[in-house]
Amino acid sequence: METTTTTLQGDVTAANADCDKVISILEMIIDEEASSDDRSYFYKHLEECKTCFEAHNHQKMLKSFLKMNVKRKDVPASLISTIKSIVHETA
Amino acid sequence: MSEEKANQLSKEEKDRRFETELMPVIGPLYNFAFRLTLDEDDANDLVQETYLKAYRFFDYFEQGTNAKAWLFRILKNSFINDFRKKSKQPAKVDYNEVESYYNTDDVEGEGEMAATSDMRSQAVQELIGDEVAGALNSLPVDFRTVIILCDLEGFTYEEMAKILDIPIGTVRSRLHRARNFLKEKLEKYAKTMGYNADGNHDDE
Repeated sequence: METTTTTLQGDVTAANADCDKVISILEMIIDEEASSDDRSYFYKHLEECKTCFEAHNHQKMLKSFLKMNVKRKDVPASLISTIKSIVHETA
Repeated sequence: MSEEKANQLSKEEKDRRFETELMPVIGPLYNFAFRLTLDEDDANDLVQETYLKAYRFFDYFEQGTNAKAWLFRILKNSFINDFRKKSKQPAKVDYNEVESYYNTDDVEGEGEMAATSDMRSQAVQELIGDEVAGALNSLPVDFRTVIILCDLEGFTYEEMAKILDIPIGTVRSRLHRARNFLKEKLEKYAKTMGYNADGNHDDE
């Protein structure tokens, strides 16, 4: 980690341009919508940049946090039978 | 009434296909309806209306194509066209009550948290669930919708664009803004517990 930080500091402008691009495709990566080129570019950058690495983790956690914690409701059995019976009676 | 053309399905065949292809989607569809209307009765009505429309237009549905996206699109259109007008109060979830109850717990600090029994952590899980639902429900409906479709139902951007009748670019920017909203509302979890409470197994 220490060594990568030093490398980054040596090339701050380039790193920032990379960060901008990485952040702009971050959500596409999380949503599995990014091209494979973008993906490899993205993950390569994460190996070198702690800030983007954490931004990625944070964004990913938000998504799984939602999925895990928004409870799903059971469909009332009466709804299913109502739909089926209306459909059967429809000419 | 049974004057059938050769390429039309018999009533029996149509009903059978309708049930096998479309009924399995009722779980996600009902949850979508509930998250839109925030009311169980309204969700019931909306889902029923959706299936009746789907039945009426079933001839236009190509077998084996994306039944889930098709039904979600019908439901979303029904919600916008017919439903919003006649629906009742928006939010029934008493978010404030949950929030104040939860906040009194904060004082006890981490020592108490670490010593959680199963029952207690289950109660905490439920509170988190209520609060996350509260945060989601408090979003404007367009924002709520993209979060549901993408993060809860796993639709692709392209499917979402078709369901919502908007360009993919709009899907992306709407998602981005919706997530920023949610992040703000859920920020305390990022600090107090981390986003993942680790109570459950990871699904990735």
